[in-house]
Amino acid sequence: MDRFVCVRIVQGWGLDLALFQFDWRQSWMVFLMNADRAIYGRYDARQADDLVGLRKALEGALELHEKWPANKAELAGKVGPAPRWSRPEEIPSLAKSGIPKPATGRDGCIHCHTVLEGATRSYKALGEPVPERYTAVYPTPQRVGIMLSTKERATITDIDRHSAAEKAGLRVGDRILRFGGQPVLSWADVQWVLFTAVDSEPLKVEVDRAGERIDAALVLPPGWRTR
Amino acid sequence: MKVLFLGLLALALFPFQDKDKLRAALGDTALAGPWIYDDLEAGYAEAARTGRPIMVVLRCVP
Repeated sequence: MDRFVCVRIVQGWGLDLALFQFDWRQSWMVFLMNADRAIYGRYDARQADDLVGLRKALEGALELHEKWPANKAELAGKVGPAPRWSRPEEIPSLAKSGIPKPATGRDGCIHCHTVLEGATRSYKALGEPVPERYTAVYPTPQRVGIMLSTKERATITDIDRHSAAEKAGLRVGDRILRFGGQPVLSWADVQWVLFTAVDSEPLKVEVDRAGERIDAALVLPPGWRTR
Repeated sequence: MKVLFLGLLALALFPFQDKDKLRAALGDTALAGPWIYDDLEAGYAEAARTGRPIMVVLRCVP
């Protein structure tokens, strides 16, 4: 960790929502980035019981940092589409709830989960359709039939029968190197690619299978986000 | 001149004092090591100065 600048953020106020997009229901989240605000990877609380996975993600981030900025294009997908509101305090329902400034104590904090709830309420209040990504559960890899090890960046430990992953030819033991064209540092990175996926387009998967590079295409079945 | 210097010093120190107050109010004292507290801009600046990548941890104080 001493090879990183470590920043602890305790409130949502002022957060750049174009950059910091993640599963707002998580109790904590890690972003690995650089001074140019490029994102190398994400790591989430789902893996929190085993920080071996975080160590692996940190090592991966250092590898990507050494290649910066030559790898700028392959990292572009780690930033999501422009959000409806650029900062949490601009979300109408949060603004109305009386959070006009950064918190000075426990009261007045904009919590992560309130960003999701506030945006959903605001869409409804404005009479606008709530995007499916706000209403569906943030997609875990299991939704496409993949279980991943928490001790590695993204190594497959199990595959559901008849799932999208099985149909793509993925196997237990495969290490996912790239997903949707993005380098993968963790479970959360796989989740991010699924979250931002265009459902009609197959996702490219590059895996290491016993030292051999294998390319596959994962076809997302209809209704996979909500079924 | 002395007044101007003290004024500039106060301005420079204010953000850190602000974050220290927040940290004290939250009772968030268990964090060990050289962490930048609740200040992303300071994190970007430090990363640019040192050439190191950044680890941002988003976590409410329990």
